[in-house]
Amino acid sequence: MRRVGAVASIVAGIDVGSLTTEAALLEVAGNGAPLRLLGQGMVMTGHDARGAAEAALAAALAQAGLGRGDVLRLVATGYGRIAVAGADQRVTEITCHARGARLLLPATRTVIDIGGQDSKVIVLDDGGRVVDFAMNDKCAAGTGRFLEVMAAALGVALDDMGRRDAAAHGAVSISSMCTVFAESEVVSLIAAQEPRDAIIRGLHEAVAERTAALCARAGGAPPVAMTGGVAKNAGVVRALEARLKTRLLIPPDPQMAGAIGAALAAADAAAGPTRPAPGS
Amino acid sequence: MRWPRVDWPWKDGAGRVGAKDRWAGLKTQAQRAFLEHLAPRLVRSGLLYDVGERLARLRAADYPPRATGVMAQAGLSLVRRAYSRRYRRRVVWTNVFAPTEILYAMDLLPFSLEAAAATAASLGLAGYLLDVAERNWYSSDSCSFHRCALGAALAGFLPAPAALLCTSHICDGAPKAFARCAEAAGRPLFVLDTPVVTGGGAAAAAESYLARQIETAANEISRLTGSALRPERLREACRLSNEARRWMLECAALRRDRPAPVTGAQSLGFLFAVFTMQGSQAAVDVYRTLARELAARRRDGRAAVPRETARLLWLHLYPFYPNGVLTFLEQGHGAVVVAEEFTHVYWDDLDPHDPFASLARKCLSHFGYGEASRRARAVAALAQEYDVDGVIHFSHWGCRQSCGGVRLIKDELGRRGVPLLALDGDCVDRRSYAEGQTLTRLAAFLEMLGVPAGHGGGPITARG
Repeated sequence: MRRVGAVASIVAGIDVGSLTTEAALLEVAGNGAPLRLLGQGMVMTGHDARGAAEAALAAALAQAGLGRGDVLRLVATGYGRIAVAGADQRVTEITCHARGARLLLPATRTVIDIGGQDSKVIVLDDGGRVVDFAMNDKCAAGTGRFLEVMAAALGVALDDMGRRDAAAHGAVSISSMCTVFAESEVVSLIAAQEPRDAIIRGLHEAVAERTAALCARAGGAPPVAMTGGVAKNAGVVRALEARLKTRLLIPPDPQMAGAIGAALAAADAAAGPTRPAPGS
Repeated sequence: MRWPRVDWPWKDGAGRVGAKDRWAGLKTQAQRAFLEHLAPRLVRSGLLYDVGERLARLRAADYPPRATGVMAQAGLSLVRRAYSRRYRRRVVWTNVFAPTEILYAMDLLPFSLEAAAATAASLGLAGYLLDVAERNWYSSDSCSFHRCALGAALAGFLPAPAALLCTSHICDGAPKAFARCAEAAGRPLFVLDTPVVTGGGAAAAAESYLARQIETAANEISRLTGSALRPERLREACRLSNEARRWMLECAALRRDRPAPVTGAQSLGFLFAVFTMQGSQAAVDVYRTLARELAARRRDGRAAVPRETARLLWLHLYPFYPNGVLTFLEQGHGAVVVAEEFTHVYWDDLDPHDPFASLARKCLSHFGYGEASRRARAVAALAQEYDVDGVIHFSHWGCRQSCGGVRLIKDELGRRGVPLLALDGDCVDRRSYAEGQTLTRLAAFLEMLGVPAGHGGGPITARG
């Protein structure tokens, strides 16, 4: 185990999501306060959550030039958190995304995280503590998976969805939010010669509508941060900003927020029993 | 007819039997063999319940708390009699809010269709029965308690009734579902049309309107079954109902203690007594045993969980198929459910000398009936009374009456600084249950309440 300086130590967080798995390494002071991000790694989760967690951590360690033995404490989050070998603790992605977003964007009062399987809106108090949250119901409507399926139906790369939205002249209305029904609706729209870019914008509007409703349900108020992979989709962000009537704060690597939040949870425990405020 | 397709609750996702030792393996095999041969004829045979009742008596001391054993015996005895030839034409299918006191007064057997659906779910049979109902055009968007019960009725699993008795209060879908069940059974349905009372002046009229219906239904059922409705027996049923109520209040008072003397999982297990045994000696026995046991626990300083971390109030029902919800909260994290909406005593003592009017008052006094704000205020009062840290509303799929007012409850609790988690799910249909997503919401709620993180999500498969 390596201690950095006299009191600082290294902690790790791993976020095993449905699409991607991220790992973050933080250097933290003796009181648990984060000093700097030493490394981060991201891999596709695929069919092996445990393997993905190990690969993401290995990538983060390689970037930081550290070994597994240097990590004082490891916290796992995300749906695959139970599969992470050697985790000292498991914390939900709600708490972790809140903490990660708060660290990266300290003004944050509401966090919108659209992940592969779940979309959630998390409301924080002045001190950064979670006071309420709302999540999508059981189906995949309005999640990253929804957009993934639609991208496949349209024959468009997922990463290209935002750019195509920007090029669209108007939006085609998508009435179905059920992923299966919406997919057949999209197929019908393609058959009806509707422009692909307009269909894409319509899909983004549909996701934004659903997310804005979730935000209203949770009682989210600005400043609003957005985390998770979908935050990189400029089309969804634009549509959401229009509906929420506020600019969204987006960290440079929005999908890393969960892993960073998990590392912060690891820092608490590494610091001892006194727990600092979330996100501090 | 093909036997039920059983969704094995003890199998893991890969279809392996998760038995830990040889004995558990044998037990699993026996359960499997039993369920594989579960045919309507076997379910209706008295032998099954006779054996069950004897086993429950033999193992009475094993039940924690012992009152569970008392209830298991009484419940099995009731079901055994319902299926026996002796009680032919003396079974009445009821919904959970029906005034069973009038049936016990006539020595008839209330057979709650919702309780039957819950039992089917706990046995892993619900999937098959839901399919039967859905094949008969009963929408999968409807309440799975009634859908499952209708499937059981259509598949011939239920004891033949003499009549059906159903109220329209709280569960407003019940009269429609019961109408379909009545057709399946070919027997008459008595619906007690419970009026909504908003103004004080209408209360007396509503009471006499409902009382007349209860009396008429009782007389009609008496005529149909040939069981006399004697005033002294009706007074006795009211007296027993009142006695059970007093013991329930005693239990409620003991549950205000810290640490909690009984878990929510255990307490919710007594819903069968609450819903089907009002007016019988059995309900008195169950709640008297429980009250004495809780008092003894308090005396001995025994807590329901080793380390109580949070106190919760549970609203609406809970999943009856094998699931990890309450175990995760109570055993996994020490967050104990200290009160439940449906075990709460909201009604006044019945007047044995004016039984129909007082039964009408009992129906009308339910806090969940009428304006949604009435329920919200009652829930907030319960949260205060039991000094809970959080409230969980299990929003059962298809239950319009309970899900409709969640916002009002959340706001009412929010004003008192008590957070609410609305957990979407289905009490009977296991096909709608995603353990990973459910436990993530519960874990996040506990983290929000500041409960020390443990497992952080329980047995979650690595899909998400």
